[in-house]
Amino acid sequence: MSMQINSARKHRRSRSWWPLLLVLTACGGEAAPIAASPVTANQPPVVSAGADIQTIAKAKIQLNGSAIDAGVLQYRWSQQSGPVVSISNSTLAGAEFTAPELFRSTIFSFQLEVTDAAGLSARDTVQVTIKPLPMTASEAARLLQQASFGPTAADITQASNISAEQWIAQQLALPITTHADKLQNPPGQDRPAPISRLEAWWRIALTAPDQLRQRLAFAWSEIMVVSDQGNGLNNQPVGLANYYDLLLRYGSGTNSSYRQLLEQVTLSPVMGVYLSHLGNEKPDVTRNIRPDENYAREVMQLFTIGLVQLEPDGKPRLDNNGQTIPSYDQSIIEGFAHVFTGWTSAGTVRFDRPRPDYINPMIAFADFHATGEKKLLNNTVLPAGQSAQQDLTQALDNLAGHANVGPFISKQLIQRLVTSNPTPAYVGRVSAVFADNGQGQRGDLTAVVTAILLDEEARSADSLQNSSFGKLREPLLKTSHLWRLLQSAAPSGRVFTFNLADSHAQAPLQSPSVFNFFRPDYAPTTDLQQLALVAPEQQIVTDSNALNLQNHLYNQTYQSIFEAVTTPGQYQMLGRFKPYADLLRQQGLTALLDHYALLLLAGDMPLQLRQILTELAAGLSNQSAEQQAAALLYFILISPQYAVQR
Amino acid sequence: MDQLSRRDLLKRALQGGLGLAALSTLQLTAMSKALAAQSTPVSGYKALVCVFLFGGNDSANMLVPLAGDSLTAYVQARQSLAVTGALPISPLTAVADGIGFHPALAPLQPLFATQQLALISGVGALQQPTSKLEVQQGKALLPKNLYSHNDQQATWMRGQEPLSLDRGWGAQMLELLQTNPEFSSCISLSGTNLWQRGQLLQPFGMSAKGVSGLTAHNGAGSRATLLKNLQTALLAPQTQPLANLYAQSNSAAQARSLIIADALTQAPTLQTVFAPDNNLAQQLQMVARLISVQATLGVGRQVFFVGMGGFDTHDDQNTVHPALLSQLSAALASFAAATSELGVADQVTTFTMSDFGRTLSSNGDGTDHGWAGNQLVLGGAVQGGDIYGQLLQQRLGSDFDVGGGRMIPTTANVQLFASLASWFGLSDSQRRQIFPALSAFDASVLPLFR
Repeated sequence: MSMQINSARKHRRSRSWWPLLLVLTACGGEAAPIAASPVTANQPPVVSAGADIQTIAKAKIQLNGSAIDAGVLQYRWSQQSGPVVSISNSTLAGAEFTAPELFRSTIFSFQLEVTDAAGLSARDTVQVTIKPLPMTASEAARLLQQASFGPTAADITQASNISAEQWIAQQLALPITTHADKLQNPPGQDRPAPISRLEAWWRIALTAPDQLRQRLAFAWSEIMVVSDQGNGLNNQPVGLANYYDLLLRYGSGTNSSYRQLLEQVTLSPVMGVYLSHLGNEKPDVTRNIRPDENYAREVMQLFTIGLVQLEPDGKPRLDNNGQTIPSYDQSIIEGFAHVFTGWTSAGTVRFDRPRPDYINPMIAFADFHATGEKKLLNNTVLPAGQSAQQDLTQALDNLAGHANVGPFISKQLIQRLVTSNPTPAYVGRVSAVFADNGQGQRGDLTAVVTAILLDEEARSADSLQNSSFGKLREPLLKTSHLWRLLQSAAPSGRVFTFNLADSHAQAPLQSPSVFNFFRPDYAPTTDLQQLALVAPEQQIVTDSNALNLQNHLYNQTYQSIFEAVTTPGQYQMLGRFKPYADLLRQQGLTALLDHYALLLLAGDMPLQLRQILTELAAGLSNQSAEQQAAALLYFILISPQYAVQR
Repeated sequence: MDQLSRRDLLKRALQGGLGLAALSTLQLTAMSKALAAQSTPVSGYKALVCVFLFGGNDSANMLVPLAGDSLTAYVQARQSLAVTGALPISPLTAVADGIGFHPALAPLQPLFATQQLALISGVGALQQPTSKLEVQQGKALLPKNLYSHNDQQATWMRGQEPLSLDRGWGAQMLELLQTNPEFSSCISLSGTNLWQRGQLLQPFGMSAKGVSGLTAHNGAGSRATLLKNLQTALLAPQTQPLANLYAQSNSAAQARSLIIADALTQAPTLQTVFAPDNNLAQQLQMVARLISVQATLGVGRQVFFVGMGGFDTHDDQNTVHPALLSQLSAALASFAAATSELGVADQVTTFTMSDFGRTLSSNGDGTDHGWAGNQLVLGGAVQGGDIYGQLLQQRLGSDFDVGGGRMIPTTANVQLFASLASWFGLSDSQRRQIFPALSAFDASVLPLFR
């Protein structure tokens, strides 16, 4: 119950005015107190909407109103805030409604207005706080597909006792497991090698508790792309890992902000090398030398706003001729190119002799910074004569403040985590949170990620009815899931993946260009184009890559059974099949398939797939339980049902 | 059904990228009858090999002026990126002040001298002839997102501005020439790509190392048979579009790979040496091997896609770019030799495409995204030894410089494409269909071929 202007409690009345008798109202059963004969002039009723209520989603909720007055009273319940619900018996003192399915704690408020026979009325409100339900095992598995490197039985058990909202909040509050300090030298070497960085990535994906923050860093690594391929960066595994840690630290967690992430990325020496603004100099007009435009162009096209102006729901804005409108032109690229001059490696004494530092943020040299005016977005012009840091701060404010950022970044994060083809409404809801987290803050990434994962489109069972919901799983995420399920490990204890480019067609921070392994708008077939659907992850699926990944999955299941391989290679990852084989031996095929269904398909194994797996098990009945469990797992991993994370 | 006719049936079933698993035995039988009446033979054999130089090749720097005012303007524009030690060439059409190859293109010099190699100069994406004034006044109808890597890659591969159904001209040529082109007429050694995406065609994407097979299907035992049969059922068509995409591409991958692997067993051993540490050379070696079994595959026309990256030389261009050009020219020279060895030099034409040219001006140690550039066309059928189009003058502030040495093309890339398509067998109306911007340009085909 809450205080409210005009509420009954504001009308102090003496006990002597209380009603003398009770009558039944005509409309059925509800007893209401009325005054038989007022002593003085009529007063409005004394109304109570009842005590505030705490409840859970889908519960039936009783609103227990009451009023004190003489004569016939009219009750009217109405909703003041919260998602609209349907109130039954809204003209009775005791009304009720069913709490909707919801995925985050939500306060609803309801007002009871009571009018007496003389037309005087009073009101009171009650607050109903509705909490989301704890997740079922299937719901937990579904969330973990989107927000981790693959659900395990233990993860699902842990998440099943709490709501998605609670799980996400817990995860985002966890400290990060950093990568750069985990790089181990390969045997016989005295420093980390490129393989060491991948090893740390795998170890952390497989075992770190901060799964959501790690999954987010992986998503950011495919948006704010650096790569050690085709440049000197493959000799800098610590620098690369440090860049990944930066994505981890600033791209998620409490107090993370997009603006800060953008600045850290911009000043990263690894990014400075990758997109060549490290060492970028002011113009030299006499020699026709201009600033390097590389970072200026790609930071706009790929990390912040994209090529065309967007509506808040991510759809392109169109001009009067139905044409898209460019977000920037060459003159703005040149403006930003001038902003990004004068920066080089930390610790450098002479600009023209940079001292390599792949860890610390770049530093500025005033003499090499362009000091003229700089044309930026939204008709902003930076004045001449500012320092490199002033220009950078204001230019990044200009970029991060552009209206495109919310929809541009929100949609890509949705695509990396939840679905390739979000509805514009979903993008719009998330980009609204990007614009304002509810406390007037823009770019609060904790709020953005929470909004993405708790959106009804990500969580509700309804979206599973939509045949185009979901996304193709990335090859790396298939293997991470598999190895988490099997607690795979090599005899040496090392996790060495020597040829991810061949087996997975992708590897962390190894994309062929700043355009990532795949583009968010990739739609390869006429079928998809006619349905206006995209399938970004399909861009790396050539015929050879498709078969190579199937072979890798076969190798990592059927050919790498810990309980069966007698002379493994020291780096051969072996999967523990005993728990699955035990289930098969002790409880039978149905129990194992149910378990696999939960772990791999969030509980949804279509009959068609179940029949194929049953036939497979029957055909392999002469094999060991471990081999059967491995073959069944392999089949699920290569099935079209598993291919799409829904 | 004997082995050969089964393979033939497989191939036919796969026309249009249809997955084998999508077909029941009954359907296969029905299809084999239907398809017998559907073949549309083309005469002879021709292959077009696209070498995509990802990142935007500084192709202006492949051709260097040797003397006089041209050289002065070049050095003025290029500053520390000006190439020295150019290798003089003698194009059939004489060039004032002389012209030479970038020294890293040495392996191409003999191919130019023997008239197997031509260059197209000043070529780029255009919607219509465009002047500097129109660009400066914002009145020019320009390709969308000029200077953006992925958009301009797509513009070259598409041969036109984006449409809602996004297809490339490589695959479209095949689909115009034949009702149901074999999947093996469209092979990529460099990933999925728009150039080879047709209405139904999807490139067969393989690696330079060869074709993959499924290890789960190895062996002759009953287990392998079981896995094979059940996997076919597993990859049956799906109702959800993304699941269906996965099922279709994976089942097609399996069946298509079997056919290519089978055909490659017939390939003769090539005497031509392809450098093992040159990835492009390795891709082209595989193309040569595939061409050597075209009769087995039963394809009258083929388009191949190979590529190399690293051309986005914003930085350290004086080190990076010569190394890239060396690999490119060595790979092309090996490939030319291999086509001669196979006796198909006249039937194979190789050409380069790239995102865009680069700025003539320097950013200190590199160049930025530009527009017009030069492209190579190589083959026995090519009227080589000449530079086609108006030579791209490397002069800042010229009538073609829209700023910083971003040069307006004097030849539209669709004019180059139309010439290649004409050689490949497309009629004038077919060329206009896939390159609609041709109507804005001199429609006569660039006389690139003998």
